[in-house]
Amino acid sequence: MTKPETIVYGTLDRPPVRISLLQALQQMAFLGVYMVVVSLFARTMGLNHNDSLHLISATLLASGIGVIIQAARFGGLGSGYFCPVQATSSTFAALTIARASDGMAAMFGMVAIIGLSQMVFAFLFKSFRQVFTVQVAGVSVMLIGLGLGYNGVKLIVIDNPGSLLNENQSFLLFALTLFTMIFFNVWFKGYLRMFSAFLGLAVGFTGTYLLGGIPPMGWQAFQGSPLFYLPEPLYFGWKINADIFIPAIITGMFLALHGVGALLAAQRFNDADWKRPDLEMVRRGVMAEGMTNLLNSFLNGLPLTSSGGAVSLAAATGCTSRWLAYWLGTFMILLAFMPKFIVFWDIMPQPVMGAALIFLSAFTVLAGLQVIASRLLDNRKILTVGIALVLGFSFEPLRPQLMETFPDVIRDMVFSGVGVGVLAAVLLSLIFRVRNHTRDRRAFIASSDSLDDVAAFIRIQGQKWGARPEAVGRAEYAAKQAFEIIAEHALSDSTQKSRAIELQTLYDEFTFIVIFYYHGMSIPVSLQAPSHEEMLHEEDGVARMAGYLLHRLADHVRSRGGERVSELRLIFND
Amino acid sequence: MLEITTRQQDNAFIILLDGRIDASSAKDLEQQCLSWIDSGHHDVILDFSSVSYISSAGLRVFLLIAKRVNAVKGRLRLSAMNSIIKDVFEISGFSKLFAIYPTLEDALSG
Repeated sequence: MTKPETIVYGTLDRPPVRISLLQALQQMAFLGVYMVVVSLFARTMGLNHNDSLHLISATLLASGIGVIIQAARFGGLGSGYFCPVQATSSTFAALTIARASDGMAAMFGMVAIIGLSQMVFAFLFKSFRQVFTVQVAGVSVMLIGLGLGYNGVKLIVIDNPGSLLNENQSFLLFALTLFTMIFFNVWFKGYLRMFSAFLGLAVGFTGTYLLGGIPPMGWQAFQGSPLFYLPEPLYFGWKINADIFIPAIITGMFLALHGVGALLAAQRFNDADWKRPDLEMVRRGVMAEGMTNLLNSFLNGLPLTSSGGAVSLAAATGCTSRWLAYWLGTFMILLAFMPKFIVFWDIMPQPVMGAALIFLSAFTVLAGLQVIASRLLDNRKILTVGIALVLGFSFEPLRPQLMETFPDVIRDMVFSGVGVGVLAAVLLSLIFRVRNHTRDRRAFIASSDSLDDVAAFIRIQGQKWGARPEAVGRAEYAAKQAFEIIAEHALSDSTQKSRAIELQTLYDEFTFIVIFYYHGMSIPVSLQAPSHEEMLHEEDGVARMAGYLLHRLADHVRSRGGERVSELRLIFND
Repeated sequence: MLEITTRQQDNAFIILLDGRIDASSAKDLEQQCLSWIDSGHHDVILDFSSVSYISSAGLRVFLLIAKRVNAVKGRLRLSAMNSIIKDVFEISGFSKLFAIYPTLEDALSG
């Protein structure tokens, strides 16, 4: 893992206390806004003040525990990355089904099943490594970014009936917040860049206050909330019944897929040399999310999922340290006992939040694009990425129509653009495995086929392999050198030269193997280059140099002379 | 296929290579280059900007050219190699033998 230049404090770095403290505050300022989701749910469910206070407090407490479990890595749980969790309105549909079936207690039984199904998904995850490809990772990271941006734009263009600000004032606040974030992120270094998002939110909030945009209800709620509150486990109760199983399992699977996206984004942001998903890390990460929701169910909080926005914020401001997770977790846990402060986020104006989401989306979309563009793509992969992105991105604008059209079971399944996109990418990867030969064989005649024919064959196989262009370029170069040296040195007479050199390629996600079968002498694979004098004067000097180049260009080389057929095997890792 | 063109610029004799330097083109390149050196072109720049591939047989030609240029106390410069050809020169140890420049302009002013 190589720390990117833009990251000041990487996963393993321990920032100074003052930096950690301010970074945690910045993250809290961002994530706190998502607590509005809990208030919204409480209002939708018609809960009284005490009940909604408990719901917010319990969800915040579980979020704090979740971010720490995710970063800490113990007992097979946790990715070790800074990847906080947040509540999401996309689980409302399933929770409503649970409440209708057996009251509030069933809702929290459902949260437990959601957590368990996330853990089952994590357990099975590595068995599906063939379909969780780099392209699927790129799609999920990109959709998280596009989703953040879309929600940001929506907050700006959609009217907020309760707002005290007119259209011009809202736009001014949006522009001021976004400009502040960009200004400190682009033209400054050090602390100011590190806290650019926080500075933007602070300027936006101050602007709202000066324009008289803080609703009086917000102040009243602040004054009316207690300074200290002790969340009581099983406040609403805990119940499981048969009706909630299917929607809970499906919800759990989609939260897990969403989590996969956020965890992959965290991996990508933290490693300048990122090549492919670290599936073990993702497994541990999703397992931690599942465990968090399991605990959360007993605290009676709303289901939680990884926050792609918080991961992006950490990357944008250059601090992705796991120590930040401990600070943020502690803050969240403390705030869970102090509801007075939670009210602040309830009054964060929409244009300010919209600006923050657009700012963060830029980093995430580009990270996803880089992941997708890092590999050569054949038509199968192009279609997988393209269709999954179109479906995932179209989901949000078409949600109302889709919700009306789909039967209930499907409706519960498709509740997030990321989930839809990742599901589509996984299914398409599976479908495209049909007749996608991971091995191919072609015969070349030394006297009539050219090196260009060999190179073209290897290039096509390399695109199917989906490796980085450098890796395919290396394989192409080595294959040309191997073909040339076999044709020039290994085939000794006209009979041998007229017989075919068989070229076989085999690949999986990690390795690309090129095997030459031919009738002739074996190629000497040398660990040492011949001296210049040997190259000029000895008959086999050029062949030995070729063998040495192959040894250096490929990751492994095996040359074997047989009684009838010789074999030269070149193995490349990506 | 390798196309070879030449031009004189200042005091340097520039040999522009275009294509692959493999076993089939190496012999021709060897003969032409050695004859140019023998005919008095002792300050030689070989431009690789359009070379896509060089094999061990091609490397051998450059050893011969270097040897001949050294014998006449001339000067040999190579320019504008792509990354994989540069890698091949590196791993074969040939990069130590030659003055290699990133561009033809750098080689001319070098």
